[in-house]
Amino acid sequence: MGKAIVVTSGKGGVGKTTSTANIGTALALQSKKVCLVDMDIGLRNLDVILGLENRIIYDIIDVVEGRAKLHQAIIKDKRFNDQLFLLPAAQHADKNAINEEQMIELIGELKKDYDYVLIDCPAGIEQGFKNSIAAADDAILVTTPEISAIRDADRIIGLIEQTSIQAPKLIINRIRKSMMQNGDVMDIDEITRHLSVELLGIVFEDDEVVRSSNKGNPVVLDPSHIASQGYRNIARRLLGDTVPLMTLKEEKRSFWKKLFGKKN
Amino acid sequence: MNNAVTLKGRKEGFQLILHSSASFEKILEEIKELKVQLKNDTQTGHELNFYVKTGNRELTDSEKKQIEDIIVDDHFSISSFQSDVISIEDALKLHQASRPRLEVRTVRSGQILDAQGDLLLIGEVHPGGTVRATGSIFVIGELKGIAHAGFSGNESAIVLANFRHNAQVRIGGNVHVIEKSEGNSEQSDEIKFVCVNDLHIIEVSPLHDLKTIRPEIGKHSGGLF
Repeated sequence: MGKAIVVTSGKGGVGKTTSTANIGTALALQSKKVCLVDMDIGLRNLDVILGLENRIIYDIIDVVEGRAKLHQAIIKDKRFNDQLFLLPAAQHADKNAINEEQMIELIGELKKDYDYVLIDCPAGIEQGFKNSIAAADDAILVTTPEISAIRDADRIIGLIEQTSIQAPKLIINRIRKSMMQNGDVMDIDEITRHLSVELLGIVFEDDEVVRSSNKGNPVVLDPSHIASQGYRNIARRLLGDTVPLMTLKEEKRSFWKKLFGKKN
Repeated sequence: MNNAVTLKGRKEGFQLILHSSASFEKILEEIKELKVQLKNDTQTGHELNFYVKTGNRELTDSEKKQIEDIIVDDHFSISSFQSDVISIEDALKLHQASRPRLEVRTVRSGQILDAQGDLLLIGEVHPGGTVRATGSIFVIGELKGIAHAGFSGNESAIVLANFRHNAQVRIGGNVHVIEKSEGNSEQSDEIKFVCVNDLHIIEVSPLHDLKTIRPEIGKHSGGLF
């Protein structure tokens, strides 16, 4: 029996879909069988980021309304041998086309076959959010070091506390090192303390995320990028490993190092 | 005497002509009289078959039923109703079925463009957009989304486009994914078409094979003509 984890944030644009794609990919790279479920019905994106858009034949609404079997709608990502799968959202329906009971049934079905079921929650706290959290066992909360994102994250924690889901784990995404060091934004400790939830990991701002998403490849595939390392660490922590937090310090090369040290 | 209904004997059977200038009540009345007369004139055991010509009048189903109720019994039957006119609605349907529907627009993500018969789309189908037709689909522009030809199960339909982008083509119940890797994107600009072959497998063929593979395409004989 696998685990269903919802990736949510409240605010839009903080990186829910990117995080879902990358954590899912990282778990698949760790030889876990992962199914990603896109719940952003009407504005789906997860398929685009994974580069699977043109493979969609049936979607989640087709399954719910009985036009397709679950296994027909699930798309296999050919880059990973039988590790990563996607259940795409419908594009020409809206969030009310599915309800909580149907979600519970659907996710229950998926949990039998997969180690991890990652649910990509839409922004907002309406029906789409309710559907997404209805069937989840755990929650990952994505925020950025912006006060508006943190405010929304706080609201989401409150909503999740009212359910049977455990307290969400926090990802602070799109951290710009320089701004955080200069004190322009709240730092990691402050955010974690303010929201008083467990920190799952941090991801630094990295242009490569957008670059690789545009090509349909999650950034986590290439370990040389800083965002990729962040997501890989998050996946390992989810699997129970103890991984130290990445350091915020911008490498400042000392005078002597500059003089005598090797070039990078 | 009879000015609303005329009975004529023809090779094919008895022709019952309902004059379109007469009122329907009058026609019913006269059919009743006619029936009684015929009953008396014909020997039992002899079957009579009518076909009803309604002229410039289009009978509704309930009106047809009323006439059938009067005439049809053990010895009398009606083979067909024939009219010289059709409703504007039916005419439009025939008209539409006999020529491809022309659409000039962009089909955006989440939109579905549905067409009865063939569809000629001038414009783009964006990723996440769908064009569907019960007949064939011809795209002048870029196909980046889904094109579903033969939507109601017609496997002889085709999809014609320049397949330069990632896209998906469906014909009847078959699905084909068009995959363009970065390397071969500028490989060819020529127009191709997708069809279901004799083995019920979708295949992409160059345009010059169209006449040999689907000779019936372009001979539009739908409807009246």
